[in-house]
Amino acid sequence: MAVEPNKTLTRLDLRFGNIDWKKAMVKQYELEQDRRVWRIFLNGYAKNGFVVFDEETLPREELLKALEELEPEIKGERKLTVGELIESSYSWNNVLGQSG
Amino acid sequence: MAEVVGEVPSGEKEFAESTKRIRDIVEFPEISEEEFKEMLKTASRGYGGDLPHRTYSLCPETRRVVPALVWEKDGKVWITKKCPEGMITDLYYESVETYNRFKKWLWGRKELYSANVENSGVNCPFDCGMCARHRSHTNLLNIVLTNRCNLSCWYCFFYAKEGQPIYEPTLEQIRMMLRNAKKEYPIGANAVQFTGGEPTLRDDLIEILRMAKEEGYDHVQLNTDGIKLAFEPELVKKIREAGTNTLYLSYDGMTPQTNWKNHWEIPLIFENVRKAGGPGIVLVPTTIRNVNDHELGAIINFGLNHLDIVRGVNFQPLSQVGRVPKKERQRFRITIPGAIKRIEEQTNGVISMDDWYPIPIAGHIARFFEAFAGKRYYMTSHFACGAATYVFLDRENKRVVPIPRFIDVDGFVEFLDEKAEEIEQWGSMGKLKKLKLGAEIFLKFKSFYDEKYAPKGLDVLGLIKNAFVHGTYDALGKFHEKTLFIGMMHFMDEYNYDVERVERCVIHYAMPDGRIVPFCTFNVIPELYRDKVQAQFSYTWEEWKALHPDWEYKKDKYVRTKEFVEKMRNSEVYRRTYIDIVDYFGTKGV
Repeated sequence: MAVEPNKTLTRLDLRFGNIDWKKAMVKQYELEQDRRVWRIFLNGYAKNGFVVFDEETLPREELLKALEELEPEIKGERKLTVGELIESSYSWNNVLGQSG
Repeated sequence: MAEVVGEVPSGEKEFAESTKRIRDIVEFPEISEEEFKEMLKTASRGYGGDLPHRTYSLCPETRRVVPALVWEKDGKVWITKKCPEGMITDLYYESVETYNRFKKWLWGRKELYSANVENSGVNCPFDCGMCARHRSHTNLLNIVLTNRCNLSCWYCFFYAKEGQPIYEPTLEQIRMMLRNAKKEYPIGANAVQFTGGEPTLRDDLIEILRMAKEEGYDHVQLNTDGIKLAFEPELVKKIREAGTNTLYLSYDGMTPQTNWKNHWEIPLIFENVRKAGGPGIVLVPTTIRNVNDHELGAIINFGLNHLDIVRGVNFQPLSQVGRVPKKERQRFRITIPGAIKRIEEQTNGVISMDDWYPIPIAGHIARFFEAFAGKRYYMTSHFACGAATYVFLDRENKRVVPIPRFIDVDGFVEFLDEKAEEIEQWGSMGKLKKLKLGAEIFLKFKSFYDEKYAPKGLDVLGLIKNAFVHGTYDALGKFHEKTLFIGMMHFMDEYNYDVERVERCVIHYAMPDGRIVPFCTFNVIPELYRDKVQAQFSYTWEEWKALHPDWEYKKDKYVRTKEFVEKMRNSEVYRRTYIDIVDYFGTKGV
């Protein structure tokens, strides 16, 4: 396996000054193709989003440069491992509410 | 044409040969940008709206999500979108009548209340998955076990070529993926398909199959070309003993040209499955206009002749993924109504277009069973994604009878819907009330059942009585032994992409990064899903070789020899499988 579960990733929570749904979608698609980006969500309606990426191979300056046109502002950041990212994705950790 | 032998089958020459003779092409209608804009303004919105209908699609070039119009012209349904590089139209459904008949059975309610990503779905289909917006729980979970393959199909970009990274999830990762889908809320996955590459190349396959059963999957399916199973009878036995229910077996046609993958090996596969007493086989023909669409009836007839081991035929109209020129799309595009129309023609009307129902009709039946028996399992894909029917074989009279010929399916399902609504209002149901209701349904069922047309030797009334009055489903096993499931599942490509379909997808892939992704995003947008994530989790060639010092790339590959083909051609088993078979549709000599 190429990736160790204890590999460290960085999560940046962002606020955008210049974004709409179209720009968000285009930029999300563009960055999402990059293998160094593990998760990304840019919300053009709420004007916020996050990127989980491998800072060892993708310097944050490069990431922020790619996001520049959306005028990003870092609102929070934390480290997490690949294992933690996977665990946070489990269905039982993301129950949305009672079904009808 | 002469057989291609002495090399790893790739299908390239056979395909070139097949496509020399074009029988018909699809003429896409012209629509101007002004007309498109005008129609878009007044088009219906929201799932199930009348035509013209507004949805979203994907631009094949720029991968932008763009507004799209699903509309009717000349009795056919088309999808048109305005991409940055121009207008693109493709065929959506070859019959507006079938489209509208299927639409009647759509399922609107959301059935999934868990997610695997924080993305809300506003950027669908780039937010997968599952996101909070997705509406259907996993009906069939796909897990890719390897990208190694014993064939070298010319059109496949997925299998590992020599020197390329190898994707092969660990047992721990596979267990995680199984568990993740099983724990979807409120209804977990219950069926899993192991796929590849060629999954039988994994040495630990049996362990994986057992693991799926351990994790509570009732239905375990192996998607295979069957080559290894032709030559390793012991492997078939082990696969069955491990609990595999179904071999989802590639089977594209009746000749070595249309079915270049395993035409010569099929007789041996069938014999080995017979000897092992299973698993049941579902034949899977990828259906392509001008290539094998003239053989659909013959494939069903073939399945009926091997009903002791063949449980179904599931046609998959070609998905033209990637950048495909218009001319090619016009030559090869076929949709569900087109395929079922050909089946009607090629079975002499025995299986007609009206015998087919869309997948979400199962949602209506499921609603009743949830209310009546507390069992929850909703197959609620988009109405245009798939269709199915069952046909019974009356061996005595050499007659093939589709279910709708002796059961008023529409009437019975509408009745079950009404009953479900009634039960839901009761709040709770005691044993006596349940028994009374079961008896009422059984009695009422008789009015939807026409014994005169029912196949002999099948106790339909007994089966219904057991299910509704006694709550036992054992008789269903007998039902399956005498029936052939015929299905149709049209996976999308960039040209007919409909985001409303993706949101309701029920066939998903589990990925080792914890996400679960709809089939038509996993495969149509591989740069975000399949290829990207598998690259993240792959072994480099060097890592793989170091871990498997005895492994050789060439050993994985299958070479079909001239001697083998000659031996098969003259064999008794070949004759039994292909030649000495009954023509149930009376098409020979017509």
